Amino acid sequence: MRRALIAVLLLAGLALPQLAKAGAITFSTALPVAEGQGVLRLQLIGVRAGDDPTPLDRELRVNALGVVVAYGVTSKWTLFAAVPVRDLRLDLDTPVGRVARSASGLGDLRLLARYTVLQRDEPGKTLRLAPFVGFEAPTGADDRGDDLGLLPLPVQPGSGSWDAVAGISLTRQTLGWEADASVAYTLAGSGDWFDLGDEARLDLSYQHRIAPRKLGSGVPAFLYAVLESNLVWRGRTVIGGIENPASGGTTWFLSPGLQYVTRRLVIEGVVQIPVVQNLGPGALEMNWVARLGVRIYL
Amino acid sequence: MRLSKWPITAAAGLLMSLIAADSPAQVVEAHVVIEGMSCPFCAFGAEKKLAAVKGVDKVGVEMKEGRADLTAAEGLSIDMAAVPKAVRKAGFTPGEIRIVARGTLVTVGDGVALRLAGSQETLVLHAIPEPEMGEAQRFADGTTVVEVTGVWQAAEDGKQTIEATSIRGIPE
Repeated sequence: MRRALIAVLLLAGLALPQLAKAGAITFSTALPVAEGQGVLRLQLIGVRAGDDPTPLDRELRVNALGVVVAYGVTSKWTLFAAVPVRDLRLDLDTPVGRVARSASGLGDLRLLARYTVLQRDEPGKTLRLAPFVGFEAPTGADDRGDDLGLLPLPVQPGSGSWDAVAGISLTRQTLGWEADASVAYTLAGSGDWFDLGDEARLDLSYQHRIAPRKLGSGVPAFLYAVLESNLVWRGRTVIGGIENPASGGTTWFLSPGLQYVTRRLVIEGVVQIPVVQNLGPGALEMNWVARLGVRIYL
Repeated sequence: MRLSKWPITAAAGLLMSLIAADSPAQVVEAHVVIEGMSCPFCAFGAEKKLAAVKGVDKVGVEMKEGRADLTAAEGLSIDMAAVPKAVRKAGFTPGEIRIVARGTLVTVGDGVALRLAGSQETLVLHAIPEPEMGEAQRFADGTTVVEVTGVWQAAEDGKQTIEATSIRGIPE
């Protein structure tokens, strides 16, 4: 059962908070954070997965609060620290009836550094290209248990491994619209009792200002309609030296949302809908991911 | 006997700060085009950086024009050299900077410079159109206080200039 559930960790991994700054909702952009200033981002994340092809009829629920702080070391260098607080619950049928296995706590801490290598500014427009690199530290517990024993991977708050992360973000922003693209790769390290597979992702976002239609004086609040695309591939998990065929796979989400941007505050919401899921046999399928967040200029 | 230079330096610094505190307003307004500023949240970063520039009292941002309007605090002058630096530190590119400055006009060689009140600092006026050139020469007596509007620039050697578009005398 444990192995069959491992693929779901990929889905639970989506509860990791994404990076701060106005722009795309589900991934990092290349927009600047002013030198010596910070942005705090809080995001409530709900993940639901089910459609279990096995007799266990598993259902996974992840509720998380993602906390991200971005700090401008210089106008080109930005540091990000992100950590989720997770509440995880897996319901499944067993010979003694339906049981719920759950855990909650701090997840893994992600630290990233981003550098702007390309900056083309014009009045009311900008083009930025910014690679980023960092790591994920195993701050979350990976050895939680209950009366039935050690909890399966999907309900462990942490991965137990040190992971390396690298990627690059491209942003084109004008007063009327913004487009972002990002590719990222996570090289997963060895955990205490399991090794997660690597992860590769390609994210795209388009935001169109729908209000105000015409700009007036001062700094009006902007309301954007958002459409994002998230293509996520994950390698197979290894436990005890054995690769789990039911783990890993590819998921493609389309994510419509809204974003309200003021001078000091961004309020945003998005629902990630899985359009394509090419997962291993016996893996749980994602139903949806919802994100509701706020970003505050400190 | 060797005297320490510290007391002399400290006294000189105190004297300079007292003089500076008594100086009337000099660069009283600055209007800065901020290239690359294209959303309200980004604008706030630039606004905070500009508000921290010495002498600045108020900062207003016009998103549509991509411009920040700075107003000097009463009795202070905006530290113009710090303005483009603040824009860059916010992650943007400074564009044209228009200022309104007050002081007295003095002749420097064949040209005219604006000497900021209460100091020996000058802003060289160049590309002065007619009839402002005639006005500049008429006021260049070192005593008449004038208000100059124009585009501010700083050369690599630190010399600051104004491409003046208007010069008018300020009644005593």
